[in-house]
Amino acid sequence: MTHITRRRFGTLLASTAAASTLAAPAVLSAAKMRLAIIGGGPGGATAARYVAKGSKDVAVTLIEPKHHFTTCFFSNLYLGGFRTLDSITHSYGTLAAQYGVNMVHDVAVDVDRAGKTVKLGRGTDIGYDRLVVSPGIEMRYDTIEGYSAEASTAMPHAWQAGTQTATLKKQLEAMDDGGVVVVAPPPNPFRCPPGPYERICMIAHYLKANKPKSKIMVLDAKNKFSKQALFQEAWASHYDGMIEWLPEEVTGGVKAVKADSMEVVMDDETVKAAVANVIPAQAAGIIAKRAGLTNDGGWCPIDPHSMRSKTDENVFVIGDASVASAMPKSGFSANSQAKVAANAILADLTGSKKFPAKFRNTCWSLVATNDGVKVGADYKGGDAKIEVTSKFISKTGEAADLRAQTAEEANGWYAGITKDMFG
Amino acid sequence: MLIPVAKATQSKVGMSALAMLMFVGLSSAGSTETQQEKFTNILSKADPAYGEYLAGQCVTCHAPTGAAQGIPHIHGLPDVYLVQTLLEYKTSTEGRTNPAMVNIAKNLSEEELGSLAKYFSEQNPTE
Ligand SMILES: Cc1cc2nc3c(=O)[nH]c(=O)nc-3n(C[C@H](O)[C@H](O)[C@H](O)COP(=O)(O)OP(=O)(O)OC[C@H]3O[C@@H](n4cnc5c(N)ncnc54)[C@H](O)[C@@H]3O)c2cc1C
Repeated sequence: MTHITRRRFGTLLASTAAASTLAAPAVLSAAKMRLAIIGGGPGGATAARYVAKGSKDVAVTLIEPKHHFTTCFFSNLYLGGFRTLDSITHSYGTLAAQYGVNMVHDVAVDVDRAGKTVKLGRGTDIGYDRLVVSPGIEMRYDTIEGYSAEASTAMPHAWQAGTQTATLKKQLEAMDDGGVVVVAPPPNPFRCPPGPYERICMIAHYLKANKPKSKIMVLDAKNKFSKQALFQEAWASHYDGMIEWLPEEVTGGVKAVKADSMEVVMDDETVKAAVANVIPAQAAGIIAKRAGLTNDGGWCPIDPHSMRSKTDENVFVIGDASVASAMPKSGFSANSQAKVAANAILADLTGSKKFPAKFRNTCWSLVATNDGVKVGADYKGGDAKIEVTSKFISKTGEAADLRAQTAEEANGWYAGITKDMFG
Repeated sequence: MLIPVAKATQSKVGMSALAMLMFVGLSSAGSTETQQEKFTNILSKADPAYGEYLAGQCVTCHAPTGAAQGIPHIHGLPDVYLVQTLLEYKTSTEGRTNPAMVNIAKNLSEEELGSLAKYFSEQNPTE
């Protein structure tokens, strides 16, 4: 297989002859083929389940330090009081017991791509024939002076769900009525484009009922954002006078934070916050960079027909860490990409049929009780990148019963995607 | 062309009363024969493996079991009913206006539509 490895990746894909010689040894070998997966989120967990249920001849190992996974999706609803943290926390038990996935609760600290092994924190190695990398995001604390992992305990980003989200909720509960909550959304590209704005709705929902004299100041790193008209409509109709959104062109964005004094610093102004939700710029999870899979921007380029890494034909990158072009970094996208990757991996390892890449995303946002909006699209593998096939978005001024139905759909989706991820 | 009634009855678990009504109405009316032919023709293009692959993008929302919560169950519904419903979404007719489903259906070729309908009709809703 060395001659194939040395070839340029594009050439390999273009040639069906080469593709079948690649698959052939897999089918003939007696030992089970090995798939290793780094990260047990929507990307990694889904890939594990689909490859495991797709073939008994592939041994699937899922590397994930956490024993329980708390979804970022619906974590804003927890802040708004619509969900408990428990109800958005899931176990890997079924993946192991029912699908035979080998769960390894450890951190991948390095990848030896030449030797096809993943190095774990405890020092063991996991060999693979194919590798899926789905580590989510890394916070780029260095983009805001004074911000750090330590400062994030006082000024939580809550952009990775769990302790951070619980901290933000406790701070909202502890603050005095009449305080200022600063929310600082990140620059593009970032995890969940509508996420900060749904969060603003959910924080406002909590404050309106519990601390109605409080205000939310949004110090955005951008001048426009996802579902903007829908969110601004909701802010005006449900939370009138509570939310002030300041785009980058007005403030210059957040330049520094002082966690000790709870100060948020812009070009010419400083705000003292009761609660500061500072969401910094992001990049692919650090292991992607260590494995040499990232571009200059810190994300992983992929082949749009398979999610195969552009730098290594044995590696697939899915979810937030990948450059999925038109697709937003969402749990829905990660789950969708995992199924395209699983199909390609099974084709590589078992010789099964590879189908054309088709992706989907829908992002629901809850803006108030019984008031939901959504945006979505279908996608396909294009010449150089993932392209939109067609898309839709909720409209402003929709009837209340339609909005209530959309809010209810989100609950159905949550149940569906978590079942699809964890079995 | 006749609807495969025995099969439809076997797999109707989970089908709504409305769906059932429409389904029955359809099989008894002689004037829908050409529509029946169309459905059967679409279903004859079904590729089981492709259906299973494509269905992966549906089950993110459509869970096989549990409370429907605004997203109806589609596992185990009759294939003809599923074809008809997807065609209605494709043209946004018969009240099938949910933009998420309209957006999905309009991209489906007849082969894809038939493959999906066939696949879901063969799934056990209690899996
Ligand atoms: C507030 C908020 C709201 C959101 N709402 C929605 C929504 O409504 N709908 C939607 O679709 N999406 C939503 N998202 C986005 C969604 O959560 C992410 O896009 C999704 O989690 C990405 O999945 P992933 O698999 O790429 O990464 P992750 O979910 O981050 O999973 C990565 C996993 O990899 C593990 N990992 C990382 N590095 C290593 C390593 N070196 N070794 C082993 N394991 C490792 C991590 O522990 C983690 O469990 C929201 C996000 C936020 C923050």
